[in-house]
Amino acid sequence: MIDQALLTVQDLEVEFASKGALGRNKHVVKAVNGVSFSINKGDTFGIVGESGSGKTTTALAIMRLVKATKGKVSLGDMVLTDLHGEALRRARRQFQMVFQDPFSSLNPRLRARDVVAEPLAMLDRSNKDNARELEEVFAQVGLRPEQMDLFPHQFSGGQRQRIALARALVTRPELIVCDEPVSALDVAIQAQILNLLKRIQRDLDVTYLFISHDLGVVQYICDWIAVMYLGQIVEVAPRASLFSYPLHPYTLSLLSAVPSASPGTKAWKAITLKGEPPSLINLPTGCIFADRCPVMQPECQKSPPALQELSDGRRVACHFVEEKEGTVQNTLTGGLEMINVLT
Amino acid sequence: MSVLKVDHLCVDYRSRAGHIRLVDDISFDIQPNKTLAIVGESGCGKSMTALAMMRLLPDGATITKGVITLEGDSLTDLPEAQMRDIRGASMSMIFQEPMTSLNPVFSVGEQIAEVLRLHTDLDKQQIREKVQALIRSVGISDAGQRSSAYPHELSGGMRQRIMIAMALACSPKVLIADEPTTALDVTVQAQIFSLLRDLQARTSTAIVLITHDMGVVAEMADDIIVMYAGRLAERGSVETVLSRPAHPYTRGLIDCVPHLQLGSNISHKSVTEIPGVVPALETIGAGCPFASRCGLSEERCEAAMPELSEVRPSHQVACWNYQET
Repeated sequence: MIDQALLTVQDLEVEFASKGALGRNKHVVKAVNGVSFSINKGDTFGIVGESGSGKTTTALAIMRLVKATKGKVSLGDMVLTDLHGEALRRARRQFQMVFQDPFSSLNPRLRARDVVAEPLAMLDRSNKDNARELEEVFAQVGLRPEQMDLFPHQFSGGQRQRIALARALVTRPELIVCDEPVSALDVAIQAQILNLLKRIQRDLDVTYLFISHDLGVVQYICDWIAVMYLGQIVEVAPRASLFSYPLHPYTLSLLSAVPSASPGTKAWKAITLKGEPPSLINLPTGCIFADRCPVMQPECQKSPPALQELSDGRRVACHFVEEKEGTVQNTLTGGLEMINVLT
Repeated sequence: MSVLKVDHLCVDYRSRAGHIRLVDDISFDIQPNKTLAIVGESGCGKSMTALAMMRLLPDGATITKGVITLEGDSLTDLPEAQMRDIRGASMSMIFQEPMTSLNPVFSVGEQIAEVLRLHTDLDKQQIREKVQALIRSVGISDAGQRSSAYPHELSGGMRQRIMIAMALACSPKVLIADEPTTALDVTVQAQIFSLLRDLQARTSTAIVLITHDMGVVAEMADDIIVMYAGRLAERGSVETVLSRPAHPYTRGLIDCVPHLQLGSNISHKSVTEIPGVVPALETIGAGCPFASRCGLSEERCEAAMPELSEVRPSHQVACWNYQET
């Protein structure tokens, strides 16, 4: 998969320093800690995890909206982490972002047309040449031309998210980073936006990095999925393998916590994780998930597991994942049948 | 024997621009130890129904018709002073965002104690013990220390547990939970639900659960009512309604969400959109409010609102041409 990768993230780290009163008790929080992945052109790559797991910070670091402390992000031949000033500004047309809350991400004083045209203006384009492009991009997101002159408050949440998407699309980027693009929308509207994202990808061959906490949505839209916990990736897998055969106990717990709409069809019983993720300030010395792991073993608290790569490109950070003669299993949680016994 | 009965409830909102009906002729009842889910998009009147039950409607909104009875006693025309004795004692409510519903300047223990001071005759020492017992009962360890914490020192899940402890302080007959886990992570949501189930098993509290998540409905509720634009679209047992939805709106709500599928045989069907949005309530005419978004809509749907009719015993739907499924 490396040869056709559009976005490559290597060993990304983002640190925040937090200061106590009078500058005392300084400590450093690693919000993103050694994250590596790559996304093929035209694919959708999802990142899931609980709040505080570093999903959004990873996205912002890729967008160069927060500073990466370490690591390298490249988009095609461009090394984004090396760009500065004017070069970075020019490069931005290649990677755009859609935010979670369309009520706060659109300037209330600008008409829809101007909201969408703003990125073009940043690229020193005069307004005259824009008209045709704007009409085209409005049509692509399913808005009518006469709606271009309305203000954001005159639109519903779903329509506002369409405007945000049009703004991201107007520079014809290769990568769009979507940070929880449907979680602020009403259930019935979410489907409209998800199907729109899919259609746009099919028509324009754009690549998505898709951040979400909703596993149903991620399953619907993503080709590859990374599961993050406390700033690190604990498992990365193609959609089909992740949902049929989660290898990391955290992935398993996360999937089993989602309530199922059709009673009796759930593949396994819910494992209720105890407590909440520990603080990023005092990370455990062993496996970061050990404290909450339903199948924790003594050695988990001693040494952190490496993110080992399996033959199909899938990666898992658990001491107990074994690959033998073409089959892979977690010796603690086993296959699906064993999981049923376990819970 | 139902503990709470809502009978032909109507809530109107009056402003200078005119008046609109927020809740239109809603009836249901709920038994002890059972959970009723109220489902619909935002603006469908779910929260208004809940607030009407608690008599906490915002300014301008009033109950104009119908009766709400708690164990046979009418709440609708109770004087405010008596209603205050009921709130937090026999009926209590938890809200979506635990940060905004807790007072930031008092410790959480103090806020739980306030409920007990208002509704019980316990003395200081007894209240202190009861507060700690309540905090422990919602699964928080080191209750002594946690009771002196302020809301901002606690995580979202922990705050929601405190809200639940507060709501359950006087063992209410009815607990109304308005989207109690929408702001929380799935793992914490699972914890809160298992907590609510345990508490219900212990206290036989009837729970009214407002949600938009059919997964939550399937997991938690016994009965369901589906509301659309302030009206009842469908009601019945969760099992029947989720597996054989009769109203096109209910079907839409189930099919518009990409439900997580686990295991190896995952179907790749696409989610079906419900086109458009909930209409503004002042624009609703005589017909079915869902007609403009409905795939089955025909002339009579625009002309008149269908009555609630029986699909099968204890499964009712308000639709002219519901499909027998």
